[in-house]
Amino acid sequence: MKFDHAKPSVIDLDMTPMIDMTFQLIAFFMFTINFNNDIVNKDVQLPVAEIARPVERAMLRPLFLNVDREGRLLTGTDVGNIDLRDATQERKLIEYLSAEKEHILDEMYAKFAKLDESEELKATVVIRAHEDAEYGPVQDLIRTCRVAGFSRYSLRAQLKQRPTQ
Amino acid sequence: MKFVSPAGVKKVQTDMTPMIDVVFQLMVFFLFTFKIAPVEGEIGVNMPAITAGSSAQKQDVTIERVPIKLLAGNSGGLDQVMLGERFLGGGEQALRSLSQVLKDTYAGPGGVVNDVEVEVDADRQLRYHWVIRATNAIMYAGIDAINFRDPKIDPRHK
Repeated sequence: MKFDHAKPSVIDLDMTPMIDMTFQLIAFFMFTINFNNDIVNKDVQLPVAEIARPVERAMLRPLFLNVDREGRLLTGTDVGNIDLRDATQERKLIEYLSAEKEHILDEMYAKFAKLDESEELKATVVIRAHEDAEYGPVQDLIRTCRVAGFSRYSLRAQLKQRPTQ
Repeated sequence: MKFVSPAGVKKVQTDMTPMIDVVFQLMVFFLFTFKIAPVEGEIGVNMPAITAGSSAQKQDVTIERVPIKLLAGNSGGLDQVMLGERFLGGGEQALRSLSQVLKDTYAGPGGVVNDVEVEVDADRQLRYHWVIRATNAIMYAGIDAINFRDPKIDPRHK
């Protein structure tokens, strides 16, 4: 009987399909990754509104204000959270909004070179409040924004249909 | 001068291991940070900035203002909806009635509503989602001009 004593050859695995697939997946994840986590808080469960319009792209940087279930403004900055139900924190809120307004005004100066003093503040305030938050703190927040000079507001909601109960 | 004959060219074997390592690291990172965000919509509202002496705002006399009150019950539920002096009940059913009454009263041909502004006056204890649902019902009736009354700025009624 004759045996083949030839040396086993190196098996060459074709890696091309796997690398193709992996790069496809990476490309998908890269395009869908959300870098707005600091301004769009995922813990805020938005209310549902079937008639809400799709979000338009703002001309200037919008001011995102996230309000949680307990009525706290989640600034996401060093300022920390501001309890909107606590009257003693009103000063902190005013200072925060004033600082944000200054940033937006600087942006307006940079973008349009010249700013008419009579022109209103063009930035949109985006209110993202938790669906179970009380309306009172949200109302106070909007009033403070109006005092700070903001006049355009976008109330955010989920577009999906609420399941029938 | 020495030339290398074509027969002497050897197949170059590239080591794919480091690249595959990095690619898998990236894959794992993206997999763990991936979150499907819900689609967001917006309800645009214009409310004038409050400046010194702005309490005496000019009001367009040609626009009819419709007051709507949202009264909160226990645990922040929608206890009662009032359209002017008319009670419409509470809960989701009241919002459907509100939408229908607004449509029947103010909608012109083609469901278009002109020269009507709704002023929503909601209780502070009311859950925010009821305010948004009420806004949704008003907009469903074809009214886009919605104003949220703030008793601290405008203490007219109450």
